[in-house]
Amino acid sequence: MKSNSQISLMGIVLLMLTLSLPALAALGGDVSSVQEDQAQMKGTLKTTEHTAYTVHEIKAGNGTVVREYASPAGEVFGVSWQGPFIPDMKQLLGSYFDAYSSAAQAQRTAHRGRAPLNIQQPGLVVESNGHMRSYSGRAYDPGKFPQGVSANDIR
Amino acid sequence: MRVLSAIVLVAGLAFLGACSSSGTPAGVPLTITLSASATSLNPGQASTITATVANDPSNKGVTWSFTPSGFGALSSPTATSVVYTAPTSVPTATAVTITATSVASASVMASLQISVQTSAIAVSLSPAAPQTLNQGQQLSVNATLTNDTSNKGVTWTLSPAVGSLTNPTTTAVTYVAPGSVTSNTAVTITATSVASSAAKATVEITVFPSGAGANVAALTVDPGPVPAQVDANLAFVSLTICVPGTSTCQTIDHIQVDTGSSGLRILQSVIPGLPLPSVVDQSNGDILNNCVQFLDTSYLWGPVQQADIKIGGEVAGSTNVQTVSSSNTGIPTACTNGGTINENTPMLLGANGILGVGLEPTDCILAGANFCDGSVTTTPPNVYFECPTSGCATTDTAIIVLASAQVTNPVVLFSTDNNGVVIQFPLVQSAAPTVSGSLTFGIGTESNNALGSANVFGLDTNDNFITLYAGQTLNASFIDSGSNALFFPSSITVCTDNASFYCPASLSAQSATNEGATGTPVSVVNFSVDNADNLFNNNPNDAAFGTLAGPQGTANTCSSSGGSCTFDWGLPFFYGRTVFTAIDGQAVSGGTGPFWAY
Repeated sequence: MKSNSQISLMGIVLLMLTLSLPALAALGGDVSSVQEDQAQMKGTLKTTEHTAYTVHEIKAGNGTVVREYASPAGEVFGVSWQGPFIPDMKQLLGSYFDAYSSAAQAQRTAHRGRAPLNIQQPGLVVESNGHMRSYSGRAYDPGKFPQGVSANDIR
Repeated sequence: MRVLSAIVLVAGLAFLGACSSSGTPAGVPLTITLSASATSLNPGQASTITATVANDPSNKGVTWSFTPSGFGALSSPTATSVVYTAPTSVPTATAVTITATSVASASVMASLQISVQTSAIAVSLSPAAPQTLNQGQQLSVNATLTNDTSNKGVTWTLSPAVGSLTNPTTTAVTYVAPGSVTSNTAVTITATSVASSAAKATVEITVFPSGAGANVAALTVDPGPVPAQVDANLAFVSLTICVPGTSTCQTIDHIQVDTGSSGLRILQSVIPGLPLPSVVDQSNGDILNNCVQFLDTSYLWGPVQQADIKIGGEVAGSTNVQTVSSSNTGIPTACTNGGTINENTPMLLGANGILGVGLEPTDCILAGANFCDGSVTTTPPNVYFECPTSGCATTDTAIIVLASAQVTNPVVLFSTDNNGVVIQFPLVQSAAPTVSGSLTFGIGTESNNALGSANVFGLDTNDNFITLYAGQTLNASFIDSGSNALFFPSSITVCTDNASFYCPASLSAQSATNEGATGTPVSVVNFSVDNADNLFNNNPNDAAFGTLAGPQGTANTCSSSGGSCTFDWGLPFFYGRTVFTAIDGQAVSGGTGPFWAY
């Protein structure tokens, strides 16, 4: 007869993955980082041209869709995500990560309970919401919007 | 403790002769007046006694003594003051007499009495955690006293007077619930020390109406487990967690009930020494660890362990739970890269654990798809990690884990009543210090959990339904007891000091419409939004707020291709409602989960 732990042993299937960790940059970074993000997320890439910007949509291996919004000059001014897992925010927010992290911690500490994240700073907006296995959110720097772009475009 | 200065005068008078060597003027009496900073002390406390000596021309002051000898001590004596410190252990109340004797004239003395109280009496009750009873049932409550040297015990009181207390002794009483109640009724039993009425303890009992049965556990919204920290709109339950198959158990209160997640997560720091077995890879002895990230991108990290979970009258045997590690080191960056807080203390979490009784059987399944067992994703998500018992490394990457080893919604492991949960709370109009409700297991399995005329809302493949609000079609909306307010995109003014809440100038009446994912049924929900700053400032000790709301993204950014399309119906939605959460894949009379109904 099998013990519980032996059953548990069978329950674990090891799949070791060798992830290369590229130099990361997304929000505020160069559009060339999109390929790195795609590699990091083991995702598939779809690019859509708009008049004032380009959307690079990466469907990550874990099922989450990440969109990176790039200006004609090739700078990423906004990102969004939707799916079962919150993306790697350090990778996605790049140089904005520290500001995000301290603002998120301050908001959680002040909030007295659990709530969606809503960071509205002059140079950084982050909104994160959802429930287990269904999350969505977006982050952008309004100061880097190309002409003709508004927050409503980042979805 | 008394801190007022008390003046006790026992004047020792002496009329001294004209030829006295002390030089006191003839016929003028030397007097001593004593005062004390406190004349009633608890064990270990101190009082400063000051002597005012009149007609003491040489200013020699006084010397100090006290009785009974050895009961406490005098220190720092000067000619006009001394400090008396009471013993730390005081079996019986004792009057101490402090005496000051004039140096100039030993026949002149004054004394002052200080009463030392016995060591503080403390009362504790068993059971201490909130209890549930069916109407007509009984519960024995026992009191344990410490430092009750006179063995006077306690007296018992019941508030409100619903049901009765029978066979009271100085250390025990039996509560008899009324034969019939019409709705969930909370009563509080208080044990008060006879010797010291300041020492008391309480236990709360919720009495359920007919048929409540063993599938009901009491819910409480209260300030939470951390003294002086008042969290808002967190619904708590008590549960018992045991080493599988043994009676080695611990009962934990203030576990937050969350319909927005699945699985029990309990802080390691609240079950120290409870030897729960870890889920182990026997090929190498490594243990399985779990990472969960919340909507605010805070996270919990710790090993997957097995426990029997007892809640209400239900038992989930050998359940995979996450034991949240007290340590912040060795957590893979793949888990911490949400970048906010590792909520591994009651203060950070606002609870001793989270009981996820949501729509899914494990924490990695969504609408029938298991994201962690390798069946639908090419990359294991950052949920499960395998590490040596010495701990993980920050560079460790996620692994694939089958459902049988994943953190499991305990409800699906109950032998009956295992297809979902029902949460009931009374209406909270504005603010209330606490509110009592119920968590009922099973849907349509007993007389107390029938769907009745409730609307059943089917969900999409993301476990969401549709809310129409202010011209927006919010098609990623959900009901979540673990969110502590209603969160939705609106033009209502956001608070300037806390961007998580709305702060309208005055109470704002709102309306939204919920629809199942396929467009039916349709249900209009009217609700009110109050100014969160005013709610908190005017009710600083209250835990339940029926009109608390906040932003979810930005208004008018929702579109079919994405954006902020979410109305998060948090705990205020449950106030005044009966809300059903049916679990994915479970049969419910008239359908199959997942769905919400109310």
